[in-house]
Amino acid sequence: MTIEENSKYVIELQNISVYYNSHTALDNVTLSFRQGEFAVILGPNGSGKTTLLKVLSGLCKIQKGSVKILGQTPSYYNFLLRRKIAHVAQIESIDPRLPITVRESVAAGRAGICGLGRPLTRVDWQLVDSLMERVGISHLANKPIGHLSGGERQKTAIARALAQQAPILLLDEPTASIDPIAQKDILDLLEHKIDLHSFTTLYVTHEIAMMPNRCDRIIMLQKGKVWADGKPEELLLEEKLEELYGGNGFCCSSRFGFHHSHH
Amino acid sequence: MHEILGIPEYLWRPILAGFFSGIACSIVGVFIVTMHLSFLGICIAHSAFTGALFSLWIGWNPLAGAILFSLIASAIVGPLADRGELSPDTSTGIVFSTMLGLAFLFLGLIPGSKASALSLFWGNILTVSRTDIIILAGIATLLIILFTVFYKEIHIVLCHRQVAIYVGIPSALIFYLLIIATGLTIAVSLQTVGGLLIYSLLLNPSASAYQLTYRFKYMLILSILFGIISCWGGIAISYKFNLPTGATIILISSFIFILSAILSPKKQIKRVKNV
Repeated sequence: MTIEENSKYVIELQNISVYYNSHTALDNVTLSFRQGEFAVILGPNGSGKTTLLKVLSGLCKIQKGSVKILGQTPSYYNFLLRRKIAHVAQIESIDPRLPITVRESVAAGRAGICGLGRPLTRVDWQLVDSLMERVGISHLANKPIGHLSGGERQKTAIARALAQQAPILLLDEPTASIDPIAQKDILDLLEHKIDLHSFTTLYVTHEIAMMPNRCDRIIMLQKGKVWADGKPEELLLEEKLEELYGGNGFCCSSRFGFHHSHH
Repeated sequence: MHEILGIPEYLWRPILAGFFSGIACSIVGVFIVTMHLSFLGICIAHSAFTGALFSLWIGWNPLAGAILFSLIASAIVGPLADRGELSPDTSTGIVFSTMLGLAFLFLGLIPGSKASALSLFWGNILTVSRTDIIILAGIATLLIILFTVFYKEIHIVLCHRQVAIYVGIPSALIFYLLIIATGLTIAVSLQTVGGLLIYSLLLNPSASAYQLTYRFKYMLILSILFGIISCWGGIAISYKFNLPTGATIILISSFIFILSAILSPKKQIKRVKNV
């Protein structure tokens, strides 16, 4: 799908800076994304990718600049805006004894948009079940979420985010723990859903091997700054990537026609 | 002696108080246990106790002071535990020790006999008034309504806090609502179970239920069931053997916890994870 040049911006970041004590996580970042745009954010560890997504979800305080998403300012208390943003975060450790099943965890994606105090409808549950089937976790439906492997939890998180059917999709290394065969399948699913629903998507990864098959735009971050911003064919070049990753070697995907580079 | 359904009339009030206290404490206990906020529960329990002593000192109804102080404690420790700007244990510990200090200060300031103050330590379910029962029934009903209407939100906030935030559930609102509900429950149950013992009634039934199921709905039902069994069992045993009622309630709830821990399917999970 091509992005119309005149389609409106749904995400606008103006001169954003985020500091963690003396560390600068984001340094004067200005970016905007059009409706339906599929952008991949690339950069080495600690370049500010995850912080950028947290800023968009309103879960990270900015020290400078302004953020507008769908015309609103994201914040910790702006939960109504977060219903329009599906966020697949990096997996965190959870208590294996928690009383919540995989199906209930996926259904959480519908919980916000359903409205306060309103139970999920049969249509909601059908969507939950079909997404679980699609990402390959149907057989785990009644298992406690804490008993899943990292990859299975990541699939659960992806199904949950897709269940939310939010116009903005933030994906933070969504396939990092998934095995390579399932990874391709999950990427195909994500791309299909993104095309189908015209989600504005920000896909964060630090590994080229985990890039989606196609995207509209690549943004490269380094030390909290936008180091490069352009079309994939302009930026996915071996010399660019080597420069971005500081020549420390990076994983290249054969689908981009690169060779593995080791220094 | 006048009897209703074969039970002496004077025992009906404690039975009803135990029933409603069992329900209310067990429901908020699910919140405390699932979110691992045990210390916060202790802190609010002691704050309610301090408030009741404050009331006795200045001549108020102990319930009013208990509600006031437990809400003050909730208002202080809630945001600290929620936002994590300070270590929640440290901040709760500071509020807890301050409240305990105040409790002993008020105890010292109460003029004349300290008997009514000391009874707040142990509580006395046998002397519970009609008004106390109505208040307990009110809070139990309120909690059942809260947990029924907002079941899906509460479930996700308790088990999946981060996810609740991401999907747009007003998790802070739900969290504070539950903290306030905890404060109120503790305050109104104070005279029934006592300041020192209430914490066990909050924790034991829900911790027992937590051991036995991975289903949140069943955890709630089991917790309520264990709460009521503890209260009724405690009243029956204390009546039969002439023992302190508060103590027998707690000991029964502890016994249920030990049984649950032995029978827990989660015990194996923990062992497997540790291998």
